[in-house]
Amino acid sequence: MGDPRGMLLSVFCTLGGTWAFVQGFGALRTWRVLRDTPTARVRSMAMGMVELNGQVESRSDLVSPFSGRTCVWWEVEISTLSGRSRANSNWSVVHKKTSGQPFYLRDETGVAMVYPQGANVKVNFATEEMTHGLGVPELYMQYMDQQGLGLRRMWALGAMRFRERVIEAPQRVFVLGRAFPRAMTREVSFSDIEVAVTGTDGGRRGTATRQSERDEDVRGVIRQGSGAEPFLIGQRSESELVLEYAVRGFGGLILGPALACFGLWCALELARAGGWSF
Amino acid sequence: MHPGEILWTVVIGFLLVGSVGFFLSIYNSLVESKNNIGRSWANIDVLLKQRHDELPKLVKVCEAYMQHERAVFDKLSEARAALAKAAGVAQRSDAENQITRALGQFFAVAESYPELKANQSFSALQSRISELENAIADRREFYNDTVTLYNTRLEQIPDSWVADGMNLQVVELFKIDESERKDVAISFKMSA
Repeated sequence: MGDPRGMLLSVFCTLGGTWAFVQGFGALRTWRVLRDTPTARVRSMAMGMVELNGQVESRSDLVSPFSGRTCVWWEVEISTLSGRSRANSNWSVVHKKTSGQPFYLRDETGVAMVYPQGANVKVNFATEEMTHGLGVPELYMQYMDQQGLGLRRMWALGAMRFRERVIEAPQRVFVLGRAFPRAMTREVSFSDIEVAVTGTDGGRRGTATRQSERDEDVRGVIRQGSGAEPFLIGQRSESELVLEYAVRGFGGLILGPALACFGLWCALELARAGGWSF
Repeated sequence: MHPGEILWTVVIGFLLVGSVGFFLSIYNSLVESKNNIGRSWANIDVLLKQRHDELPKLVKVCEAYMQHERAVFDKLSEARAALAKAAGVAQRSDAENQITRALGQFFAVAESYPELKANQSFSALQSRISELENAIADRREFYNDTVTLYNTRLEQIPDSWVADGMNLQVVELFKIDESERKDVAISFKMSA
């Protein structure tokens, strides 16, 4: 019997190539939607699939967990180093969390609200820190405590990587998603008893009123449509995103089968050398 | 089965699935683009209808003040009737341009009636119509962008092969009125 690593690698190539081939179709679909959807203005956007360009504005007081930046959206990722040796190792993500609060998107004609849940956010990591065992800073330890990550002490013994990416106001972003009418809102008053007892509402009434006033200006809500529809939020320009998806789509459709066939050829050769018959 | 045969079967399988999938994706996206044009057009229509509904209200408010301006009322009424009769993109865009022109003249004449300008209903209607005009202009631009993308695809290879098979035709753009392209003559009266 020969080296099983060769056979494993062949199987990996075959499956990986097939996976890339299937993914290529998904990327191709997003590429077509991106290319075929003209950019709309918030003032006149119609309900349905829309593409908008504008500046983000915060709707709630949101602070990113690692860097403490005031932002409209954040995502954190914790990874540990896995592998037998340093040279043959890679980072595997053990925890990922994204903020879900909506934010405003304003262009020169109006304002829309974006619910980022489920979006494919194309933003680079702004914060990245690596630790190499026994020295995880308190901030990260506290975060892992809050999230109830049971294996944190064990992870802290090895190398860890903490990454965070954020969208901050007033950055310009590109949004491709489905527009829905703004929900009808009803103002819920704060308990007068609380005000009578404490003499204050903790500033919540003012914040809620401002938020409610701004929500009145919202022309529509952009969020995830049906499962198959693309929902993108990115700091890159539309042309860059079109190029990225074209490369992923055509790359997957061409290189995927090539890799799969190569893997299969290797597997067949190894099997033949091992005395297998077909 | 010989290993070479297995490999060739897989290669042909990938080629077959890839080509069929690729052309199916072109077909589906062309159908989607065609429907997007219909949707963009319907979205303009919604606003045209809203503007159409505002016109009788505007006429009603202004009648009492502008009794000697029969001509502007008539033009507005004619344009409204033309829009109601219009069918197809070319006719609709002509009628829409006619209404825009008539409304422009109407508001220009209304400028010389200070009492009318002070009327709250008039100013509310004027701002509502102006808001609708802006939205119509945006959606017209959006419609033209959608049509241009679609028409471009009909001429690009390999999309044109599939489009020919589907017998898809080039779609007409929403034309802008010639008068809207002309330079506006502005003159200043210098006081001595």
